[in-house]
Amino acid sequence: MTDEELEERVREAYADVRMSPEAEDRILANLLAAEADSVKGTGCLTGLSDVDGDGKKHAGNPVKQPVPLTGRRWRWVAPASIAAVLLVGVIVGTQIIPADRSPKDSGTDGGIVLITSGEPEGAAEENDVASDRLMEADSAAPAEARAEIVMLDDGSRFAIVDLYVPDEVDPGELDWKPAHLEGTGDACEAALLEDGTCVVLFEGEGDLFLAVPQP
Amino acid sequence: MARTNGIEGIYRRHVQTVYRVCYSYLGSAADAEDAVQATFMKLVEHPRSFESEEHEKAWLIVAAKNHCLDVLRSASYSRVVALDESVPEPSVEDEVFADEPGEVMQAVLRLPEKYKYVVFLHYVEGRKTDEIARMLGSPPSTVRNRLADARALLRKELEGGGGT
Repeated sequence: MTDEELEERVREAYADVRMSPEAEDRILANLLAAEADSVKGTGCLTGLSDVDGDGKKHAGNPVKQPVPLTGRRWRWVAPASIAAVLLVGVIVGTQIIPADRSPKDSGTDGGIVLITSGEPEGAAEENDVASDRLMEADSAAPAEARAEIVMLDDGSRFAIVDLYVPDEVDPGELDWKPAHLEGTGDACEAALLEDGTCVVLFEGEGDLFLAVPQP
Repeated sequence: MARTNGIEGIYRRHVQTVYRVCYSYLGSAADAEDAVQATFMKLVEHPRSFESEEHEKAWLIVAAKNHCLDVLRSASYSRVVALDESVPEPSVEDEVFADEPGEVMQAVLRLPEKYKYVVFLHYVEGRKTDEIARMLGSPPSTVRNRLADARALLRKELEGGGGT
């Protein structure tokens, strides 16, 4: 099976996955009801009303109702809260000293960069809290921090710096040579250009990348 | 058609995309519907503006993926799945609209979670590897490796009868 055939079959399989019109309408009704509640200012949204009354589980989150603090409870809760806040303050203070930043810290920053550049707030919160959980091991290395090195069979090395958009050069006329990615061993092809840079093409992909010589 | 920015407009534009993401992670129509609702609910709870429909869609896809991962990792979901597996009882909707997934979809559902996202974004959404890398916050090489691994696994399942 060629890559194209596989791609086509996967695309067709996904095309068959569609939410039923009834479910689509039911969820929309729930969302609109929730939106109306929020507009009316009836309190923060902590769950979804089941407008159908069908008893079906909807994605609502249980809410903790505030318990009024009175009398004896308040007397010990207040000092305990103050102590807890102070403790958290000390811990946070020790964590934000810039001189002690480690590569792992950079990984967390990568998550934050992702968030501030327009990624979902909800997801961003989750990435903030557990970026390593969601992004697995590679979260420790921000994308821009790694230069991918392509090595040709003759030993010459090139660092990928950008996407390559051919304007004057026809990729079909280039002299492609086998190469691989240093580290991962991914197979690719590279074609040297007159200015000493090279164009890289990965197997199964249509994008071309520009790479510059490395010592 | 005029573009509407209210929750209804956003929902109508992207509900099926979000549903596909959720279905590919959760493998059940009912769970995917709950996840869709929870994903759009985030927008109701925290309204925000988007630069474009593409931005809107990208936000929803990432939010859906994150929600599904949370669901999959929740202890209660594991217990529910364990019980459901012993007593399969598809709903009427499941029977009518979400027939037993075909061979290819079953192969996709069997992929490890880390591959599903890149398969969906690359094959279905037509995103390039560097775009996916930006969405994931991963190096492009990681995305390429995952795509290559996912291809190999899918091919093995579909050509070699690797199903269980």
